Amino acid sequence: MIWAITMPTWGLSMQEGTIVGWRVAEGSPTAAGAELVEIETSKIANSLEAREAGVLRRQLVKAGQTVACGELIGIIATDEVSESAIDAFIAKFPRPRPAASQAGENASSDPSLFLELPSGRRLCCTMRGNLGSAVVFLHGFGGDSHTWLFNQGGVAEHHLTVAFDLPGHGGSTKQVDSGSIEELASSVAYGIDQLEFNRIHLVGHSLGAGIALAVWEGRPERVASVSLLAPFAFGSHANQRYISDFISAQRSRDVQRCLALLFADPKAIRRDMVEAVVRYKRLDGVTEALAKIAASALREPAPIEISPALKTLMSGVLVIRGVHDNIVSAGEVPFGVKLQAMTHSGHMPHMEEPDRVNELLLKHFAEADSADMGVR
Amino acid sequence: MARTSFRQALNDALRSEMRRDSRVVVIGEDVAGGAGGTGVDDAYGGIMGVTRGLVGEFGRARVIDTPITESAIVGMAAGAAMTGLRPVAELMFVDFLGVCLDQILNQAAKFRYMFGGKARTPLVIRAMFGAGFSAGAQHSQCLYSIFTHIPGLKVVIPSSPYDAKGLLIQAIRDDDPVIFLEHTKLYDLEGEVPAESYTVPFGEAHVLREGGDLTIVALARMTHVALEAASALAEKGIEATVIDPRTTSPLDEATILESIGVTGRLLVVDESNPRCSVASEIAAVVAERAFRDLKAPIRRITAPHTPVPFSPVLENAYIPSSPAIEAAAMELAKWS
Repeated sequence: MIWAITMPTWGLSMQEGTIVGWRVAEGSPTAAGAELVEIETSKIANSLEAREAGVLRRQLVKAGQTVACGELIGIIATDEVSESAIDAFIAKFPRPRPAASQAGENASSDPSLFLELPSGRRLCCTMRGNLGSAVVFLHGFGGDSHTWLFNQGGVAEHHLTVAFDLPGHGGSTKQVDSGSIEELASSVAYGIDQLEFNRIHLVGHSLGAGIALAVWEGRPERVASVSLLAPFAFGSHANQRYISDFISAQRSRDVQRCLALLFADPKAIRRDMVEAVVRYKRLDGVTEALAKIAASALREPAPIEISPALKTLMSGVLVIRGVHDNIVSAGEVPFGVKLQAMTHSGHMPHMEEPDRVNELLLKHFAEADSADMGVR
Repeated sequence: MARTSFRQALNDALRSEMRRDSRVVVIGEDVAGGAGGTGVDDAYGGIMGVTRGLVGEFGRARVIDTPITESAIVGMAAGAAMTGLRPVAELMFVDFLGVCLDQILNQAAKFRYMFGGKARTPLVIRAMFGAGFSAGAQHSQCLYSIFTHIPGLKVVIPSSPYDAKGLLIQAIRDDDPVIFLEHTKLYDLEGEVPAESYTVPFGEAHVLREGGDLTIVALARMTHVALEAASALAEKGIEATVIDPRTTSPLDEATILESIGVTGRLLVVDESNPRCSVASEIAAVVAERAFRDLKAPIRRITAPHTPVPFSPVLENAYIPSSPAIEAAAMELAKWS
């Protein structure tokens, strides 16, 4: 067996790391969990531990050198693996994707990417990580890719991740046509096509979950797994009072009152979260876009029907729901779906219990990936 | 998000509103680059470079250079506003208010009222203000209390690039005369500013920092001095809330009163002279409406009742400082 050691991504802002020194000599055995190499970032110095037991066969990056996150820095392999097999492994190892066509002057610190939709509007997404299968995050009504603040970084250590800003949200154009789930899903699907992913794990929160299901329906062959958090799906109802209050809230205190409903513990709301939402809501076009989406996507209960083609695939669906959710009712989760209740969460389990949610997501992706391998 | 200077944020706001609405025009001294000269158009863009590039995009009909005649600038802008344009007039220094006060006080501010609500005056008057450049007694004053005193005017005093852009767009879209004041020392301040257009509403204060021990209210450059003092105080175990009202007319009394309900101590920091000042007004509102919440006397830290000195040493002593705020806060904290 050969295992890659790559430059890890410790935290959201880490782009690259410097090798301070290897703690295991080339050719020496190492145990799983043993300190392998010390790495320094602009913020911290930390030790990377070996995930597998084996022999450290190669140190590909020497002390003092700096490489991007995801770059191959060393090889662990078992004794019987030949040197030529290791060379072949290194030659084939995918290079991290360059941070291509980034907008803005400070491209190095901003992983935002802007895609142009057929309408000429802009679809913004934030990419992190460059390993493994692709994971697509879709936020809920009134949110943006920052809703995955506590999730995307962790998941990006094992996967290539992309968090979209839905049309009318975040860095995307603040304009929608009807604002229906179909329209939003088709924009997201177009973005996924542009990014040329073969297989994706879809993760959707709230309205984003309804959109994830619609994306899945349109491209079933592309989707390896679906994870739905506090989903607006399977016939659930959205809290109309919350939605209209959120749309009309202009002042910080009104926004804060709205956001308090999202969390099991309203004290979880920080001032900077409120300020970010207030700033979003002040942008030209946002109120109109939100009103359209609310009217056309959220007024009626979420569709309860599932297309026959997907019905047999429900074991690939994970639903995570906070037991204190005030925003979206539970709906009728179909047979076969994995259901996880979060006892300390309201509508935002991914922010309220992020470690647990990340663990569930990674496990779900791994199961789907290994099933994929089996199929092939 | 890109980091943008206060100056550039103002330029962005003007440019985006001029693109959005053809009725928006800019009027002032050297806003295009010098009327009648033979040199390159658009060489400067106003004394602080805020209007740079506008004449190239929008032409001389919408970026209008004027003679050095503040009464003509404001009179022309007020009349244009009444007859359907949305002018943004620039006074180089707010100190020159004296030569055009009638146009503002008796004309622009009164039209809506005197014509029974049938006239609108969507006028913005931008002006630079404040001390710190040794520009002398006639080019360094903080005269916002004079405008705040006049019914019919809205008075806006941004402290950050984000607020500068959003408040200026709001000012241009507002149907009443708005006095928009820019502190001299803030033009090079950088901060995160969205590329898109947005508005910051009038009458909503910005809570810059939260603490339970005292409330500091400050405007424009003084918010930064207050925040510096608040950091120093935090190291001594005193936690201050810092509130930037952002507009003095309308004034967000609710946010200030709410904070006093928590802290019971008020310190107002104001670069203006103290008599009949915005600091006095805020102190009066709190004394009148939150007397029961107060644990300590209200304190004002202001400039003295003197002209702004030209001497850098004296000017420095004139401007409220972080140590002065700190010392006053320590005194207030002793009351319980």
